[in-house]
Amino acid sequence: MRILRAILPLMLTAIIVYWLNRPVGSNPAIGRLLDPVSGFWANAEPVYKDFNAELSFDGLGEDVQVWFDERMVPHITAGNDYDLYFTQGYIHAYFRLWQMDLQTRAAGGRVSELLGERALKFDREQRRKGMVYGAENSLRAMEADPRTKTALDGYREGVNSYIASLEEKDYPLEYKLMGFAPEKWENIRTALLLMYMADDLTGKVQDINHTYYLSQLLTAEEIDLFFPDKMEGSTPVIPAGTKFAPATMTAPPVPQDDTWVKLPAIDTQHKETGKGSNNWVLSGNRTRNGKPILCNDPHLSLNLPSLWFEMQLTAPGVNVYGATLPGAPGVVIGFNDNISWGFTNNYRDVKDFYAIDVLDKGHYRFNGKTTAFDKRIEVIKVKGKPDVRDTVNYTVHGPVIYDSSFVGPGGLKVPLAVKWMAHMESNELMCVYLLNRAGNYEAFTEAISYFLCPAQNFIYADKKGNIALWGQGQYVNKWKGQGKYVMPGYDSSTLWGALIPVSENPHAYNPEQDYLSSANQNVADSSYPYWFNGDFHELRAWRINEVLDTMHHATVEDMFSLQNDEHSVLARKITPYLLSVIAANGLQDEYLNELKKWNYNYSAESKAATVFQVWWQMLYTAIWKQKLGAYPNAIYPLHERTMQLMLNDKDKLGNVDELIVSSYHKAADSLDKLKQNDRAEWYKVKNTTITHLAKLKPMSISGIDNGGWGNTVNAMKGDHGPSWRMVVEMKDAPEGYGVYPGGQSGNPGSKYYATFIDKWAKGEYYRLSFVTKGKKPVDSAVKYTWQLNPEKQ
Amino acid sequence: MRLLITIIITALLAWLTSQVFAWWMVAVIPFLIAVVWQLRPGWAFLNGFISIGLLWLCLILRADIANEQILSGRIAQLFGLGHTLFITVNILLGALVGGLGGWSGASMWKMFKKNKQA
Repeated sequence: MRILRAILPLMLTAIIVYWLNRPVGSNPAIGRLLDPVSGFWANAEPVYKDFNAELSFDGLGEDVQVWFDERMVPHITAGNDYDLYFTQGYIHAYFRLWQMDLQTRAAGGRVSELLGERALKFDREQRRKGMVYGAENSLRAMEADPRTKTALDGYREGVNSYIASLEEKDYPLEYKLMGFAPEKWENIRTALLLMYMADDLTGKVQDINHTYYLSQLLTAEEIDLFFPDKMEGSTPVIPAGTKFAPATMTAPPVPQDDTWVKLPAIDTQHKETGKGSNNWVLSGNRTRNGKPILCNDPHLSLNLPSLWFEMQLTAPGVNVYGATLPGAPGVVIGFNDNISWGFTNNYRDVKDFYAIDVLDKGHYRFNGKTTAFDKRIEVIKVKGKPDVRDTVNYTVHGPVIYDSSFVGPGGLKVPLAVKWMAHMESNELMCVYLLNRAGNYEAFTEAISYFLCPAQNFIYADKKGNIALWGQGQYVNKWKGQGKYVMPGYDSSTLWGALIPVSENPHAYNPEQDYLSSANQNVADSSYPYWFNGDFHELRAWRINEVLDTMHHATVEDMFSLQNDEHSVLARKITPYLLSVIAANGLQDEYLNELKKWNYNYSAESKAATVFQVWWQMLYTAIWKQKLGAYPNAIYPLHERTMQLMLNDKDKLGNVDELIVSSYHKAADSLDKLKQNDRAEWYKVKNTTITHLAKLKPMSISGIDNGGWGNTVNAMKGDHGPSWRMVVEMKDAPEGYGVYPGGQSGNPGSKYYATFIDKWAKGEYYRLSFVTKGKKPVDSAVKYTWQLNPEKQ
Repeated sequence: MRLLITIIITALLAWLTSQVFAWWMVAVIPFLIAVVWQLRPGWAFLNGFISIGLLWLCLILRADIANEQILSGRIAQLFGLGHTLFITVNILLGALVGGLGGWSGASMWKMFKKNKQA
């Protein structure tokens, strides 16, 4: 008894300490987390932290200097490429290690090792669509060129030098919250990051959905009507009237047999397409200073830490400023002493599906012959469970993504292989490397010729006054209609044909109209000699082009306001019609009065924007539910197409006028509720939120007070929006302005974590602290400096 | 006076060892101090509780003030607590573990001493 009484406290203490020391489910170990020495408190960065440092590395060849401006933008000056990218890697890791690690693990289908079984489906899909396979192919190309290999190797050693310097207490906060540790960086991670971008931008195609429609619901004519290859009134990326060189290849013949396969399914996967981007450039004839101005704002998921990180990189042969991607060497969007460039997603379809005639576990039929699958075993580590091994079958087309062991959307069991440009061996990093160093148009075109996937609309301006725009990527010479639907993959007749030489990609150089722009609209009109289709959007392009068309003596301020323009062409064109139908029914109330007075701008405080959007969304859904109702989560035609059909061809849609009235009544009920809850203003309804990558609410910023919507130039949606706004005036010393929704530090405990969000939400810009070649920064601009020395052996 | 000295020594040792070893040195040190100085259970608990509580209080306040509560505000929200309450709970947790360590130490030396006498 006495012994028990003596041991009891010890047991109690041991149990409590044990319990506090181990993670419970996905929750972190409380004791470890709350420990003021090594827990989260170690990540509470002092607000007045002195970032000045002198560091030594045995990997460096020469001294490197870094200075940080007051926004913590690092400016690196190195003596050679290797040291430059070493330092970039070190700095990326210093500020963004967890994000780089997580995003590239996710790209490679390795989330289960962190989160356990619940991420297994995600990981399997990543592997089955060939993310790792594609990354390995790209890595081969990147490492084959000594320039990109040096960049990758230097970058890797920089990241690893930082990781090696860390003790557990120094790990970024999220490692402590999620209970894992940083892993040594390898070059494949950079390749995976580029695959992640390719997947984000070209991964979601409509082929499978359209095949469902064609199989069960719509005729091919209806599909062409609802989802046209080229929309009426499109103002294409490469302006109408641009003379295209004749094609060097003829279109392949359309196969005699079926060109698509019937897919039985009950459900489709709903994915709201939210990604878009804008870019435009004005020649000196349209600007006040007579110098070109280039603008770009890529729209992506709004996350913290931000996808972007600002930097200036200087070494012999290169002096460049702009947005970098933590995880990859170089500046992705930016400008140097002579040129500026940017891009938007091109959206030409470069991903197709083939039905496979599977014979048995190891074989399929192709051209009448029994053909063996190339098997690739994917080993997926699962937290707290044994490894999962998934065999992925590779065919002549590509990997079989869906089959009976991994069903596709809607319970799809037909074995489908995916043919995707992102699987090709290509060296996009070379494009970044060369763009950073490009001094003229020829160097620019050489640089972008390396950029094969994800295809982008590359915009260009230089100091000499030239402007250009290229719909750049690697494309296939397709027969008309090839790859619109899931194709039979049983013989060679449906195989992808020859690759179109990239020099034949649609482009415009110094056009008569003195401006160029792209906003994910169709790339070229039908005078372009090769057939293509894609997932194009027209609304933002219509607005940008109508504004630029009449713009003269433009200033950077005019560019700021266009990037923040909230005017909706959709609302302007359709609202009068909606109101006329309502008036004919004798309805009148305060909401309708708001709409009548509306200027069609989705401004933050606008109540009319709320009225329109709630009503339009209900009407749009009602129209397509009636047409495509057999599919619970159908992919609907574009809003702009719906608008066109309503105005010009409404019989094709059914009883539109009745739906206008009934959806108005429904909308009015919702609007009443919003009004009662004091949520009638547009920004409250939209609730733009920048979400932490681990979806932690306190690390996210929500309820941002701003206007805009997906159909306006300022494409500020609930969780998507302008991820980097840049305006560059190509004066003798280029002047850049920019802002992104985040901050340089990825640490939620740093004052540099979300620094730029207020300014971004207000549509304001920072003057970018680019220092031209050979110049030194003014002393007042330099907040901190790092001196990096090679370690003396 | 003796308690004050013990408290200071306990806190100091706990702080030093926590730099190198795991956080639960805040239980081990009060335990060892209680054994070495043969503190009575009540005193041993008090010593652990106060020394570790004070240590965590100092460390946390120093970090929190320098950080202007940027991070603690966010972590408090993760726990669904207000800032002050969260900080209090955080400190009490350390204090409690320290106290329990001390109490265990005292019980142990007493048990061995009694066993020896018997």
